[in-house]
Amino acid sequence: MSSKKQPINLLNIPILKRFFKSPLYPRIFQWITVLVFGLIMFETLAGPTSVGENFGSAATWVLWWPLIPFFFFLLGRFWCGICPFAWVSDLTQKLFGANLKVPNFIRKNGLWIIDITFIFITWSDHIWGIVESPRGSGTLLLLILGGVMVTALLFERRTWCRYLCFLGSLSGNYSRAGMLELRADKETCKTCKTKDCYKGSAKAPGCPMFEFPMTMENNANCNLCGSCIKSCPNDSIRLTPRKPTSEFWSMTKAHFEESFLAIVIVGIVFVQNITMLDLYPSFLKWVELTLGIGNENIAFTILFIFAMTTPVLLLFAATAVSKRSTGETLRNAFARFGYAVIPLDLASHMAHNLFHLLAEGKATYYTFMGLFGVHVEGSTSFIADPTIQIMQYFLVIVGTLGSMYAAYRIAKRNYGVSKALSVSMPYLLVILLFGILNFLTFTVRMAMRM
Amino acid sequence: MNYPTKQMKKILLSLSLILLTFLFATNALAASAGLEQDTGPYHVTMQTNPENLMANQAGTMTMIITNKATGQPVTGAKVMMMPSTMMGSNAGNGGNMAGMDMSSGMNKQGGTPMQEQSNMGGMAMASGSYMMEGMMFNQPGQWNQAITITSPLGESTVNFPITVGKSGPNFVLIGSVAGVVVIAGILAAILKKKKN
Repeated sequence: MSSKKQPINLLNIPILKRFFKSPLYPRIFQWITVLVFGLIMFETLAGPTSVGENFGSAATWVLWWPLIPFFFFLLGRFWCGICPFAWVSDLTQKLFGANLKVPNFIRKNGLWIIDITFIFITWSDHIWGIVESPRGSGTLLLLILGGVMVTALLFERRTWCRYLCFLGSLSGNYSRAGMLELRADKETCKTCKTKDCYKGSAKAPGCPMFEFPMTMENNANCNLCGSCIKSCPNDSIRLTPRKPTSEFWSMTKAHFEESFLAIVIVGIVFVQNITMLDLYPSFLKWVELTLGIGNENIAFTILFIFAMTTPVLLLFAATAVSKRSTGETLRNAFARFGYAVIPLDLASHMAHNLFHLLAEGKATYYTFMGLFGVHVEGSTSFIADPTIQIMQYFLVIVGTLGSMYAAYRIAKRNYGVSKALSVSMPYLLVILLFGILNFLTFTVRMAMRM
Repeated sequence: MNYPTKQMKKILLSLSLILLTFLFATNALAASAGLEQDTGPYHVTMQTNPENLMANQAGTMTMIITNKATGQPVTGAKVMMMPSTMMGSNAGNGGNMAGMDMSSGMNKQGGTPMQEQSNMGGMAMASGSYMMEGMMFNQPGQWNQAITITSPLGESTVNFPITVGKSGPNFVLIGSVAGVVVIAGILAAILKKKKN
C-alpha cells in the first residue's frame, strides 16, 4: 500500500496557527505600515524638495522598493496583506462603500490596464523624475491613494488590489517564484457546505482577492491576509514552504496577459538598469546625435519602446520556433513559457535594488534623523561596491539558471522528457541572452538615487 | 495557421495607444524643453539640482559648455551669471528682480562668476563644466537666467528659462484627488440607497 506524502503545513505549529487565527493578524503589521506610510505621504507631499533630505523618498526608494522583491520571494504576496492602501480600501468600503459587482470590463482587462499603467509609470519616471523628486513620488502615491479610495467606494472587496494595482500585479508575478504557498485541502473542501472562505463568516470576511482557496493553484492572487484561515470551519487551509519556481511547471492553466506582463518586466528592469549606469548620459547623447534628434526625452522614448518591444518579440520568435515541434498555437505556447522569465525578472530586480539598499541604505537613517532636526552626515553605504557587485552577479546567475530550469520543466511537464530539450531550447537561448545582457549591466557602476 | 486572435489585436491596439501617448507627450515636452542652446561659438547645456527648483530652497546650477563647431569642451572660460529676471515683469519698470540670492558675491557688472569644476563629491564631471552653488529664488514662477561666456572663442550671452515651483505642498493636486474621491463617495451613497 502506498501513501501520498503530505506537504508540510506550517499551521500545524500551534503558536503560528493561533497567531493567524487571532484578530492581531495581519492588523499588527498593518498598523505599523499605515503609520510609516502616513509619514512618507506627508514628507513626499510637504517635506523637503531635495531628494537627499527627504525621508519619504529615502524610505520608499532605498529601503522599501529594494526590500520588497525579497519579501515576494520568501513570503509570496504577504506585503499586499499588510499594505497600507489595502487598509485604506477596507476602511473606506466599510464606512461608505456601495459594494457593487466589479464590472466585466475591469475583470477581463484588468491585467492589460496594469500592463499599460506599469509601462507608462516607468516611462514617466524617466521623463518627469518620480523617484528623484519627492513631489513626484508624493504625486504617484496620492494618485494611487485616490484610485484605491474610488474603487473601494464603488466596488466590492479589494477590487483595486486584485484588478488594478500595478504593484499588486508585479507582486503576483514575483510571488509565483516564491517559497511559500497557501492552499486548501481539496478533499476536505469537497464536503464543505458553507464556503465561508469565499463568502465570509462572523469570524472573518470572505477572500478580499475574490479567490476560492479550493480551486486556487497559484500564488498570484493570494495575499496571505489570513481571512480564510480564520473563517474555514474545517481547518482545510495549509501554509506550505515549497521549492522556488516550482509553481511554473505545476500550473494547469496559463494566461497570456500574465505571461505578457512577465516579459514586459524584463524590458522594464533592463531600462531601470541601463538608465542608472554612469555611462547612460553619454550613451543617450550618442543616440540623440546618431538619430539626429534634438531632444533627450524623445531619444529616451525611442530607446524605451525598443527595450519594451525587443523582449516580447524575442519570446514570440522563440515560441514560433519551438511550436514547430509541438503543434501548439502561438498564443498558448507564449502564455505557457512566458512565466519562465519570472525568476530572472525577480533576480534582476533584486540585484539592481541591492545596490540602492546597500550603497545608499544609510540615507534612510540620516533623513529620519533630519525629521527631528538632527543633521547626520556620512557615507550612505553599508558595504563596499565590489562586494555588492559580486552579490549582483550571483543573483543574476541564479535567476538566469532558475528561468532556464523553469522553461525546461514546463516543456518536460507538457511534452514529455523526450521532447523537453528540443521544445525548450529556443527559450533557453533567449533567457540566456537576457541573462547575459543583465549581467553586463552590473559590470558597470550604477548611479545613486539619493 | 494560428495567427492573430482577439488577444493579439488587443496587444497591437494597446501598443499603438502607448506609442501615440508617448509621441504626444514627448512632443509636448520637446516644445517646452530648453536646457540646451547654441549661442555664438558655444553649445551650452544647463542642468539644475534639484531638477525642479523650488522657491526659497538652495539649488545648484551647472553649465556644460562645448565648442559648437568641434564639440570640444570649452575650459578656462569666464562664465558670468547675470541677475535673473522674472518673465512677464515690466522691463521698463526695472525688470530685474532682486529675487535670486547666490552664495558667491557679485562683481562690478552685477554678475556672479561661475566656478569651473572637474569633480563634485568625488564624482568626475565633464570638462567644460561651470557651477554655481547655493542659488535661491525668492518666489515661484518663470524666470529668465542670462549667462555670459567669455573665452578666446569670443563673448556671447545665452538665456535660459527657469521654472521655479512652490516649495510647499501642491494643494491643487491634493484638492483635485480629494474632489474626485468625494464625488465617488456621493455616487456610492446614491447607489447604495438605490440598492437598498
